Amino acid sequence: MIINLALGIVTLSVLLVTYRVLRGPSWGDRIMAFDFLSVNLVVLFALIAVRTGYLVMLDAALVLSLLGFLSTVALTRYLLLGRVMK
Amino acid sequence: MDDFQAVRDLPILIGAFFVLTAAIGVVRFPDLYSRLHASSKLVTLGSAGIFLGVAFALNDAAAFTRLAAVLLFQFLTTPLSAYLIAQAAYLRGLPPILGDGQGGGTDEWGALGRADEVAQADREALRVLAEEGLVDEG
Repeated sequence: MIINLALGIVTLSVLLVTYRVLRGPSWGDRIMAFDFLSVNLVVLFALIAVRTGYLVMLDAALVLSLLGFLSTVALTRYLLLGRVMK
Repeated sequence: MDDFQAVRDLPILIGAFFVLTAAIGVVRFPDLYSRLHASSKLVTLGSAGIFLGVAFALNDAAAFTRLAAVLLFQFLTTPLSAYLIAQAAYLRGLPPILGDGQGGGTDEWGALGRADEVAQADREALRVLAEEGLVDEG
């Protein structure tokens, strides 16, 4: 089934990018890889919604995409300014 | 592949291929800026394909609106977060690899000749940020 194949491919890409989170020479690399992971988890949730038929997973994907962008903004502000809020 | 449906499975396959390509690019590319290029552009396209295929597979109005919202939000925020990461890393002094990385290369856009000019503009931008109290000097 195609969904299983896509789940495997996306999981493989998550594992590949985890290497960049752990290794990634600068903090920018880690934040970038973290952002990539959050987007990939959204995709994974959408695929799980098809695989299991739980449509609640799509709400989880929506919330996760919002939180992923928010955390990326917070991390880059911390990297650039030294603090998150003024 | 007895239940292969092109309208449902083809976007998912294409999207999964692009997501895997983006992951390989993130692991293999030499510096942060080229990795950002790989991750932001390819992941946008790949997740768009997968969301489209998932919308066709679920074939449900509630699922479709949620997926459309997620897709719109990804389209808005992925370039923005890539820009933010590149700006933060650049203003914090991470140099991009220009040319072939050893001082040579094609220099198609004249970036090597303007390195001093660009560095001057960066120092100016950091100084403006520091005057507004937004960033600690150095």
